[in-house]
Amino acid sequence: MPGGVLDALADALVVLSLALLVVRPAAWSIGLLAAQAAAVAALAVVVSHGPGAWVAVAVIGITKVVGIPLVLIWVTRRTQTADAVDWAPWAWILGAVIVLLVRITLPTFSAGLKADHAVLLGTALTVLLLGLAGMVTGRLLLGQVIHLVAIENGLYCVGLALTGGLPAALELGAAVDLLLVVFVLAWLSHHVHRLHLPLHVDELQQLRG
Amino acid sequence: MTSAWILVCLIPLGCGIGTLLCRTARSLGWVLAVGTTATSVVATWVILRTPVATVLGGPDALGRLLLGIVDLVGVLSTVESLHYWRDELRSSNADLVMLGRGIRRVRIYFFWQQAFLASLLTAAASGNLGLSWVAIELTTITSAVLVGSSGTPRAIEAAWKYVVLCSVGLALALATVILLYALGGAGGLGALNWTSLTAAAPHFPTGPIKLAYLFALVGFGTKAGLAPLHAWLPDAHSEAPAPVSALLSGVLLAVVLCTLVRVADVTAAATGAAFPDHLLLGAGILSIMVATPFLILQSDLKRLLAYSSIEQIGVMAVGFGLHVPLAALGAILQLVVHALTKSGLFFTAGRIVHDAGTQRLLRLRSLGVGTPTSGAALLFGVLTLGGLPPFGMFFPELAIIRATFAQNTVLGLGFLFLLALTFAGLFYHAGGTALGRSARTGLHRVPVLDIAVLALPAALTIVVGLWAPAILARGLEAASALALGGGAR
Repeated sequence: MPGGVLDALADALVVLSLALLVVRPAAWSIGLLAAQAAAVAALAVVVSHGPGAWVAVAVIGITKVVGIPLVLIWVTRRTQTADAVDWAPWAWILGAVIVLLVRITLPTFSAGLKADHAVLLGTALTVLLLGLAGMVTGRLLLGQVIHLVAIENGLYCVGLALTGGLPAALELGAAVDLLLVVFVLAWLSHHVHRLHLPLHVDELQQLRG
Repeated sequence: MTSAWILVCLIPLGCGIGTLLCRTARSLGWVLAVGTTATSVVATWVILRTPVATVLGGPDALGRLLLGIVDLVGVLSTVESLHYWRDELRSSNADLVMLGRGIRRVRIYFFWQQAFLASLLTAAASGNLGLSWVAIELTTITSAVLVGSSGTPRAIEAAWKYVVLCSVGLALALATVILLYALGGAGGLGALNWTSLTAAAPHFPTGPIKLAYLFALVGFGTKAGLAPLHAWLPDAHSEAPAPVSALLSGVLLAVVLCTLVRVADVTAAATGAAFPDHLLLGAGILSIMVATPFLILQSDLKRLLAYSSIEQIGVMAVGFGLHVPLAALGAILQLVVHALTKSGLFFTAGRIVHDAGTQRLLRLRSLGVGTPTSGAALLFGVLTLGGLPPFGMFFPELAIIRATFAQNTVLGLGFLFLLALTFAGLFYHAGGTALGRSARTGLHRVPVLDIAVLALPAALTIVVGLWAPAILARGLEAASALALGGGAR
């Protein structure tokens, strides 16, 4: 495995994931998400060789680099959404803490793994935890969709680090499921806008008890 | 024909696509009749024949039991959906029907209902963890469209929460799939078959397998409605059309719980039974505790039934978590009886709500339940869920209660107390509504098929709970043995 390329891609993924946590404009967030997916596809080629890697690239490319961002752009235009993340200054701090925590604890939970796979596992956990942090701290509906996709990207990287790539049928199934989830959420966002419901999670409180 | 079970999953999908092409209500009825009959015939054939292992992991005894239950409730849901839409279109603007917009909504509904059924059948029958995960995620997508199909603000909010919470939960469950695949040697999709995982599990290191189980408990637990991850459930189950609520509450929760129980079996083979079973037992008790106050203080009929589902799933989790044959058999029997009873209750609730125009229990008490049939079905369902003799839930609940007392007297007393409280809440609200006055009288006004949809599951609960025919008893025993780890632990 070419170590320099892997390190560069791993660093790029961490930076993109951090940016997703704090960048506010919706258009930028969607672009960052597509770039994150493209970096994951590149990692798949570097880590797993053979035709399986190119199948993975095709699946990720169609669903996450092109499909999902196009659907999200449609949502922003349809619902006139400007922001994907509400401004939370401490999101920077939370993101930095996650990155540092994974770096510090990595030698403990990657014991027994090869150096390259340990780097990949550390990156995967960082992407996954940053996605979960975005899901927990973000209060905008569009942001929830974006961070859900980011979580799946992190999990895909965990799979790459631990197994060198999941079975093609499972990869395809997971990617198509995710695309369909985003379609359904886009359809629901359209109805939220049509019904003049708030685009903020905290204000969706009609159902209680 | 080693993969005939895949055909069972594909027929409803084809049927759903067929409904999209229908132009008249008559052709739609024919497509659904042919589709559901074909699915049931093939499902029966798969259930009765000797299982053959395939790379995609065909159904074992537990899978075949779930396949039978899902198919049965699926047929009932499809028939009740026709009743539901007949009432919906009658009460809507007649011009809408004339313009064909009414039939368009019906076509779209049945496409998603059949797609939901196809994904449920796949999740139930699959003997492969990877395929089960993909199918369970698909159930979220297909059923979310149905939950939000009425387009009201409440339905849209419920659907949003349902998709987001369950998708995040299932993303964590994907971590379980990845970890087990890595531990099993990453040897292709066949490495995720339950048989392969159980055989390899004794060699798994305990740290990673415990982590995998924790992810499964959170991920599949969210989708199964186990507390404290159940927040989406009362909203989605109460806002969906009643025939869809029946599928969600009656069978989806049980199918996902069984997937979690299978992961517990794999974990137990590596770590011993105590770690996974104690966590499952704790989640079950917590679910009953969380549901109890909402059952007592509830003001909405469909939410009452949804919280009852959380309680019932909790009881099943306790049954599986106790890890003794009596309790496991009780949990499996309870799963079957609950699927039949809860589907009948949601069908009844749907009709009552349609007749009265409200879900509020207080209003329903003063307005009445519509027809004596609805009142009788509601009362029968509540008494069954309460576990009173001679109803179908009596023996399964008795088996689980006996097993809790055998484990620990304090646990048994607490469990019994909680069950008594939940029954009191359920009977006070739903029983009170059922025994209230009926706005209309006369059984002759209700078509025979409409009565049959309610009477058939009720009659089956009696058959299953009190007198299980030999073939069914063998199936239940084999399924409960598998839920206990198939003798592996």
